[in-house]
Amino acid sequence: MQDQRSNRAGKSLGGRTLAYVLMVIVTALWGAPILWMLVTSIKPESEIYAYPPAWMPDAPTLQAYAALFQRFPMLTWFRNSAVVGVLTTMLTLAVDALAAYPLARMQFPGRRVVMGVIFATFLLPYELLFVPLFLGLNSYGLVDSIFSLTVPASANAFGVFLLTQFFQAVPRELEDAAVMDGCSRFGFFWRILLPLTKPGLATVAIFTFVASWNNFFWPLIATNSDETRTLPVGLATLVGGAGMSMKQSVLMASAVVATLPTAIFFLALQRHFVRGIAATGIKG
Amino acid sequence: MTSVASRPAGRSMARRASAREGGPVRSGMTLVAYLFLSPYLALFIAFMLLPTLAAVGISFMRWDILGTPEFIGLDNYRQIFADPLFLTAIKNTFYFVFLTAIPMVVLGLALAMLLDQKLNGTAFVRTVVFLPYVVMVSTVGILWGWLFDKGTGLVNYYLTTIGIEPIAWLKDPHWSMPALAITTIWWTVNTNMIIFLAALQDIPEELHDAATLDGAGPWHRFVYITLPLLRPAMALVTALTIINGWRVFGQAYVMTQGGPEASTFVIVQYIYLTAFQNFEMGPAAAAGVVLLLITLVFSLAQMKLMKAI
Amino acid sequence: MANDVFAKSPLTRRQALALGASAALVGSLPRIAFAQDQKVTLWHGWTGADNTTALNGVIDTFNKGGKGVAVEPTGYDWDTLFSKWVVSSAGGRAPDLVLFHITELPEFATRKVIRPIDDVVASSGLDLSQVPDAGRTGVTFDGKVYAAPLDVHPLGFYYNVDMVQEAGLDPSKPPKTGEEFLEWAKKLTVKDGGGKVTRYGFELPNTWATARWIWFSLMYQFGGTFLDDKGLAAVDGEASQKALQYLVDLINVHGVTNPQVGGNKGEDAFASKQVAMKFIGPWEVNLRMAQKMNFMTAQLPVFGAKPAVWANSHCMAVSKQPNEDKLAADGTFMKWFFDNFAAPATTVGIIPQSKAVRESAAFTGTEQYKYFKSFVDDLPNIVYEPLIPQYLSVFSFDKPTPLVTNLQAALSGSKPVPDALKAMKEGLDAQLQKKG
Repeated sequence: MQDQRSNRAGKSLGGRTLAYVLMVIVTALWGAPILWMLVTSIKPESEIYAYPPAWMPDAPTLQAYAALFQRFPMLTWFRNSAVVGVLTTMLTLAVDALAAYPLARMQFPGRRVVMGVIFATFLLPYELLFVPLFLGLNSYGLVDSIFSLTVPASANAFGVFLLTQFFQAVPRELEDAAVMDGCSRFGFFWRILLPLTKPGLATVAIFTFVASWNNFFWPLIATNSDETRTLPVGLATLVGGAGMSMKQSVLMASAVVATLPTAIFFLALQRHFVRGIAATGIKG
Repeated sequence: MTSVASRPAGRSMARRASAREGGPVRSGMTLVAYLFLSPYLALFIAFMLLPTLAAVGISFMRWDILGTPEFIGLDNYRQIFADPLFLTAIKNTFYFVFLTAIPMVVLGLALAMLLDQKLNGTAFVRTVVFLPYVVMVSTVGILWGWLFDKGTGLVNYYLTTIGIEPIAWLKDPHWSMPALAITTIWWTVNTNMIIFLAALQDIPEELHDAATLDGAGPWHRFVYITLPLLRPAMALVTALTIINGWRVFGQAYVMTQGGPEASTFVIVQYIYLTAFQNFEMGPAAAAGVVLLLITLVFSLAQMKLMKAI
Repeated sequence: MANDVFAKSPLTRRQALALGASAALVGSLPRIAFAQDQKVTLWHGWTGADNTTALNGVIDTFNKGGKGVAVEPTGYDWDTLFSKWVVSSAGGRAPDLVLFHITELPEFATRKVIRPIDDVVASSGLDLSQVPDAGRTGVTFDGKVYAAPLDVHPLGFYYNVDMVQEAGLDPSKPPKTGEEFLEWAKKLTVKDGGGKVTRYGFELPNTWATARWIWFSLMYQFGGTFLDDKGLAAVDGEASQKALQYLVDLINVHGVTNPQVGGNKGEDAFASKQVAMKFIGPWEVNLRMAQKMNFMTAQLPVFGAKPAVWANSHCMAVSKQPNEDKLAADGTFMKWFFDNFAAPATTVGIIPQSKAVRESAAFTGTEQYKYFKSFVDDLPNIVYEPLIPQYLSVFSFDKPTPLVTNLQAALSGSKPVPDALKAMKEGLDAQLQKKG
């Protein structure tokens, strides 16, 4: 996000002080739960219920993390999630960008119908689709494979919707000029449109990657073993269900481990990301 | 890469020249358009449309996943509407939408306005507010389930330091839904904030400067310049908030399992429970179709309303 | 797949020769040395870091034991285990073995996702005579044995020894009757100067299954049953009313507990010293030890006419498969697991069903055993929830079923006990009359 704008909400000292006070409060409210998760994960089990709550452990320990990595195939789950996340993101970007181009920049019969149907899939309760999808894929022997974890998720309505907005914002004259220079439609799409809308692609990449990384129910249904399962499915076995006691520190350590990659992914792309949203036609 | 391409897309220029209408129809374009669409459409039909149609079909069948489906007409719909639990779920979900919609939009805008200022540290605060977005739902549920505990939770601990009696957030049917709403706002208000931030940055600086010269105060500038220009963003944010509100599930399931006394039992949990714990796919699919219709009606109504304003 | 690669890759003569030679060599070696272990998949719900580790550890020992069987375990939390199992069974992708609770056995037997294993039990030599009658009945459905009984986990009585001593009570003489229990509960409830309770004597959370298990135990102690002779709910009966009223009185009349305190989602009231006593299964022993709490366990006090205590058990069943060529391997592992159950039982915190294992030094010699002993002593008094095909929809503790919702309403005071139980019976009967 560029900060070249002038300071609107009061240049006065009072206004600025108020803004800073509000910012501190916001940081505390949004940051504290995350920090608590971190702090708890390095507390020994006997300190977790200390009262009043302690933000610094007396005897910090990495025991919970050691338990995670020594006792569970965490690296396998990480690798699976990373492979699934990256492949899904790449596939989604490719498929969604291709689809968004004509929807954003061409008039053709059926355009409104296609848009309407894509929008309608926003509304679907996905939980319902899993049984038909599982049985369908299974009859082709595609379950428990990288295919079942990546390809079905790539028809992503949100990505198409977002990219359509981005693509619409690119001036028509550019395309006309390119075509006049003998550039094909695909040539324009590949060499001019995509490079121009990198922020949009980064935005879709973040949304897709985070969604894929955090996806639980479909990977649960679609994988059958520790070897193929993704991180959230694996981590769910740590939580402990009914009649299974659990350790709060291990739980929080697993939460930290699960959050870290997406947080890093977000921090790495966030410059593009925020600018990306700013470049959409969304704001009208 | 061309020299044009290496320049970042100028936002305002892009918008003014925006070809939203897409230009005139050209012969041969239809084929090209569908060629571009074909990979998406193929995946969409195979992995979205067909399963959806299957689900709609299942809503007219009796099927326990293991056996053979049997057509029973509208019986599943009759069954769910005769089920007090389903009606409770609709009522609760509506309550959740009511509790989250306004705060999510207002707070999203307020955060965006606060962090749109040219002050040191806004980038950091934006990152902090956005961070919860990347946390997975089970973690959100476990974390807030603990934060909201009456005796050991941080929420009550800090409330008591300012003299508020401890509240049994998740164990009192009156407080459970508000607690769920607070959790959801913490988790997802950032998406709304980002959309508003983007929209705010797109409002030409000159408009504010001109208004300031004319003697308009901050409030006037907000009401007469900012708000009208934010209308499209407002429409999008409201639509997304309401749709996601109707589809709430994960956090409720992890934090309260629909309790206490069914006070947080929502429609998607009804679907999940009926399909995957009672293995009655028919009524589950019927409930899914009802949810689809509800969100559709709300989205259409909301679009109409936004156009009217 | 591999053939395609070979067909297309330019395999040299030398390589081809070498391949052929090694294939011949492998084929000619004695079977025992190179035999491919038969792979058996096992799905289970023993989630949590320690439980999974315990199970994986003992399976590792088995796999290395040269039995020709390699077991591959995969864990799921209970809810998702069942969803996944049924969906996978529909797709013909079920695992070979599944570990779950005996209370769910009738449901899965009715749905035909498990097969009777009388033949497997007989051929593997698994000694069911080591198992108490209740445990054997639990794994039998329609006159056939469907699973190997593994353990039993009854409700037990945990108390904080420090708090008991502070209250001037004798921790070596835990209450045995309702009156004694109430006296402890009152003395262990602490109020501050303003009369506000800072610690309750007893934990009775309304958001988790313990209240149900306690009520269930008391119902049987007062001479009642959950179902009547026709298989319909008897929860509006006198014993059930008395049992629930007793619990509600603990909250409202005696003020020794609060349904808003405690639970099982990190709001650990026992560790955070918000309560002094709780009733829960043996699976919390290891957690309390890890928290370095000074606690002790005892048998459930007898509030009614006779002792009775809620319990459940894990069992291992053979998932129904299109071909049954792994039955011998399944049986080999089942028997071995049944006979070597001491280690997983100790870590998970459950009591082995097999008498031989339960009395072996591998179990009684552990540091946990002093806490497990009271649970072992209570085994003659255990009562299982009704073994019915509708178990999951009737008894699941984490959905707003008629059972859960009305119990919560009674404990929170939003419905009087008789009304709550009447509403509960109506809801339960509707569920029970549905076919499985």
